[in-house]
Amino acid sequence: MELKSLTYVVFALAVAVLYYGAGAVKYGQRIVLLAANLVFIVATSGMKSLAIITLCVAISFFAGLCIEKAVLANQKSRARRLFWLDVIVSLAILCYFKFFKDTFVLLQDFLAGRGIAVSELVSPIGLSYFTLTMIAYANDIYHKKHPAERNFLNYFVFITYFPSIVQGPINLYKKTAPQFKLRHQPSAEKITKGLQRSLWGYIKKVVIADRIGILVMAILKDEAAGGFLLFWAMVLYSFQIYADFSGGIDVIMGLSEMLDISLTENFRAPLVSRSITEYWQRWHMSLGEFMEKYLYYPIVLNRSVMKFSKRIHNSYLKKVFSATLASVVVFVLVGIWHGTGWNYVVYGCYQAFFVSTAVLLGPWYKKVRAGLHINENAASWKLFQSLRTFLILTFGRFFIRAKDLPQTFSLMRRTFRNFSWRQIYVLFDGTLSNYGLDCKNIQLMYLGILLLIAVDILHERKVKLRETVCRQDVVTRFVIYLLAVFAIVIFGIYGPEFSSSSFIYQEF
Amino acid sequence: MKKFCIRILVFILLFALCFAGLQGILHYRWSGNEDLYTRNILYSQASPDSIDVLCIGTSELYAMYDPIVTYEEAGITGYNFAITFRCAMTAYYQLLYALEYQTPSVVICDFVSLFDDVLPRNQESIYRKVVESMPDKALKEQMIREICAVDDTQSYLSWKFPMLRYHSLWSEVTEENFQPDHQVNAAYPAFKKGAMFNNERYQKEPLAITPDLWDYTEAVDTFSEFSVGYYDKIIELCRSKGIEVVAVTPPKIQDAAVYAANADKMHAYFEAREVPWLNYCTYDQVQRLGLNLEDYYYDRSHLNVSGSIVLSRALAHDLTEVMNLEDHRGDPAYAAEWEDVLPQFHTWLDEIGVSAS
Repeated sequence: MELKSLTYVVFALAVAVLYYGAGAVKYGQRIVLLAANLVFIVATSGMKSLAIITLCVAISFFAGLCIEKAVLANQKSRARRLFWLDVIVSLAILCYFKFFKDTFVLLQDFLAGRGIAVSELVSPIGLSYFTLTMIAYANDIYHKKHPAERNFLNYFVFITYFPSIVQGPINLYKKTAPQFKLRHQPSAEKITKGLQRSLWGYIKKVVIADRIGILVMAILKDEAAGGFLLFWAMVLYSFQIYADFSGGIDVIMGLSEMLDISLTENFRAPLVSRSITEYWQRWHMSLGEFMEKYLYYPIVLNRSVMKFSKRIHNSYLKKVFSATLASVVVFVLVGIWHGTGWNYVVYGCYQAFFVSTAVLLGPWYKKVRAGLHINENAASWKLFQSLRTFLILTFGRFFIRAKDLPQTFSLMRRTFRNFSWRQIYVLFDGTLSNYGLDCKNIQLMYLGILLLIAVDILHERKVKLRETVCRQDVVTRFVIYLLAVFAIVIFGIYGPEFSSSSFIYQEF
Repeated sequence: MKKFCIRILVFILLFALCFAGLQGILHYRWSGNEDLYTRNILYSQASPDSIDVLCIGTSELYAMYDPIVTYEEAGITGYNFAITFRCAMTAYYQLLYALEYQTPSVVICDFVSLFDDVLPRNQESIYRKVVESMPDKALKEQMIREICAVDDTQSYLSWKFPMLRYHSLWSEVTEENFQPDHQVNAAYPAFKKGAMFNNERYQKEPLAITPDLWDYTEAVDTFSEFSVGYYDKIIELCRSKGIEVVAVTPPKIQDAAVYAANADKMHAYFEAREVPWLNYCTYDQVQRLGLNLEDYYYDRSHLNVSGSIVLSRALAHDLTEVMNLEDHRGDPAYAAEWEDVLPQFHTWLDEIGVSAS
C-alpha cells in the first residue's frame, strides 16, 4: 500500500472515520489504530515483515522494562549493560537488513544452486526509522526521562503507528506515545487543517517531485548529455528530493493532525538555509533531534573526549574540538543511515566537512567578511548564502543519487569534464523536452518549483497559509480545495501512464 | 460538527460533479477517428435484414471493401464494420451488436489477429474505441467487464475513470475535447456504408511488385489462444444464426512474406472450421487484379479508393461463386438505401477525380 496510492487515501480516510466513531468506546481509538497498523504493515510488506517488526518491538519493550527495573534498583552497571545490549541488538537487526541483504541474496543463490531453497529475506518496512525510536526509548528510560511502557499493545501502537512507520518522522516516546492513550474528540478545525496539509503533501509528491523525477532520470541516463545539462539535472534533483520527502511527511503529518496526534516537525523551510549547519537544523529535523540528543551531546560531554580536548594547546581548537568531533561522527552516521554503499559514507563525510570547517574556520570567515565590508543583513548577501548552500548541497547529492561510489565519480566526471556555462541555452532551446516531459509539462514543473520556494519563503516569514485559507468564506475555501484536489488528479504523475515511483525516503 | 459533516458531503458532491465534467473533456481519446459511432448508428437505422454481407476485421479490410461497389457490381448489399486496428475480441463484440439489427447472409472477416494476442493491456486504445462507440449500453457493459477480466492491470473503476490513469491529457487538449463523443456525423455520406474510401495515393519510394516480396525464410508464427478463442466464437455465433463466414485476406504488400509464411497454417485453420478463404494476398492474385502501389494503394498495406473499387468488384464475383447471393438491383425495397445513393457515389468519384471504370 503505497502512500501515494488511491488505496492508501481511502484506507486513511476510513481509519479516520472509524477512529472517531470508536471514540465512544474505551480503548476504541487505540484498537482502531492497532488494527490499522496491522493491516497497513501486512498490506505493504506482508506477514513476515509484521513478524519481524513484532519481534523488534517485543525486544525493545521488554528491554525497556528490564532497564527500568535495574535503574530503579540502583543497579547502574546492570542498567548500562542492558541498555547497551538493547542498542546493539536493535542496531544488529538494522544492520542485518540494511547491510547484509546483498550477502543474503548471494547466499540464497549459492544454496539454490545446491538445491536448497531459502525463502526470500523480507525487509520490514520503516526499520531505519523505528530502530532509532526504540534506541531513543531505551536511552530515555536509562536516563530516567520517562518510565517504561507497561502495556505491550500501547507500545506496539506507538512504534508501528502506520502514518509515520514508513518514512518518519522519528517519534520520541515522551512526546508522542501519551497522545495514543487519550480519547480524541473530532474537531472540524483539525480535520480541515490535516486535510489541507495532506493535499499539499500530495501536490508536492505527485505533481512536483515525480514530474521532476522523470526529467532527472532521463537526463542522467543519457550518456550524451552535456555537462551543464547534467548539472541542471542535479539542481532539479535537489528540488525533487525535497518535494518528495517533505511531501510524504506532509501527507503523514496531515493524517496525524486529522487523528489529533501531533508528531515532530521534520522540515522548516530548508530551501532558505544560509549554511549547511542551518540546513541540517531545518531538514529532517526529527533525525537531527535524535542525533543531537543521543549522539552529539553524549560525544561532546564524553569524559575521554573532554580530557583529550584539554590537552590541545590552541585555545580556540580546544574550545571547538569536541563539537567538531561530534559533528563528524554524527554526519558520517547520518550518511550511513541513508544507505549501505561507500557513497553514503562519503556523503556523510562531505556534510561533516562543511559543518566542521564552519566551526573551525568560523573566526577566519568572520574576519574575511569584515575585511570585505559585507553587510550581513543585506538581502543580496542572504540570497548569496542561500544559493551557495544550495549549490554545496546539490553537489553532495551526486553521492546519494548514484548507486555507488564508482557511479558517483563517473557522474561527476561526465558533469564537470565538459561543463560550460555557455551551455545554458539548453534550458531554452527545447532540448529538455527530449527527456520525457513535453514543453507544457516542463513549464508546470518550473511552476511547481517556484511554488515550493514561495511557500518556504512565506513559512520563513511566519505567514500561516493554512490559517489564511481557513479564514476565507466557504465558497473561496471550496474553490481552493477543489483546485488542489484536481491539481493532483489532473497533473499528478501516478497510475499506469507513468511508472510508479515510490517515495525516495522510504528507501532509506 | 454536524455543520462540518454537511460541508464535507457538499464538497464530495461538488467534487463528483466537477470530476464528471472534467472527465468528459479530459478522457482518453482513441487514435484514428473513423466515424465508428456514426457507422454504428447509421447501420442500426438501415432497413431490417437489408444487408447481405457484413464485414468485420482490421484496417486492410476496412480499406478494401466498399459495399456500394458490390451492390453496383452484383446487387449485393453490405456494411463495413472493420476498424483501423486488429483485434479479435472487438470484432466479436461488433458482430454481436451488428446481429442485433440484421441477419446477413455472409460475414466476411480477415482473421488477421490469428497469430497476435492484441490484449487489452497492450492496446487499450483499440478496445476503448470500440467500447466508447458502442451504442448498446448492455453490450458496452458486458464488454468492459470482459476486458477487465482479461486485463489484470485494469479494474471496472479504472476503466470507467480513465482520468485517474492518464495524466498527460491536459497538455494535449484541443477544441475536439470539448465536443461530445457520441455525435452522429451529419456529413457522413449515405453511400459510404461503413467503408473507408481513402483518396490518397502512395507517396513513399516506388516499389515494383515482384514475386520475391512473398519469399519467406522465417518460421511461421504460432496461433494466439486469445484471438483464436474469439474467432471461434464469431464462427459459432454466425453458424447458430445460419450465417456463412468467409475469410478474406486483403492484398497487402507490406509483410506479404509474413502472410505467405503463415498461409499454410491459416489454410489449415479455415479448413478445420469449414470456412471458405478468399486469399487476395498472393502474387498471382495481385497480378490477376492488376494492382500496383502507385495507383491502387495509399500505403503498402492499404488500398485507396481505386484499389478498393477493384477489390470490391472482385469480391462481389468471388462471393457469388462461393455462395448464392441474391441480386437486389432493381428491387424497389432497396432503392432508397442503395439505388438512389449510387449517383452520389459517382458524383463524389468525379469530384475526387477517380474513374469508376
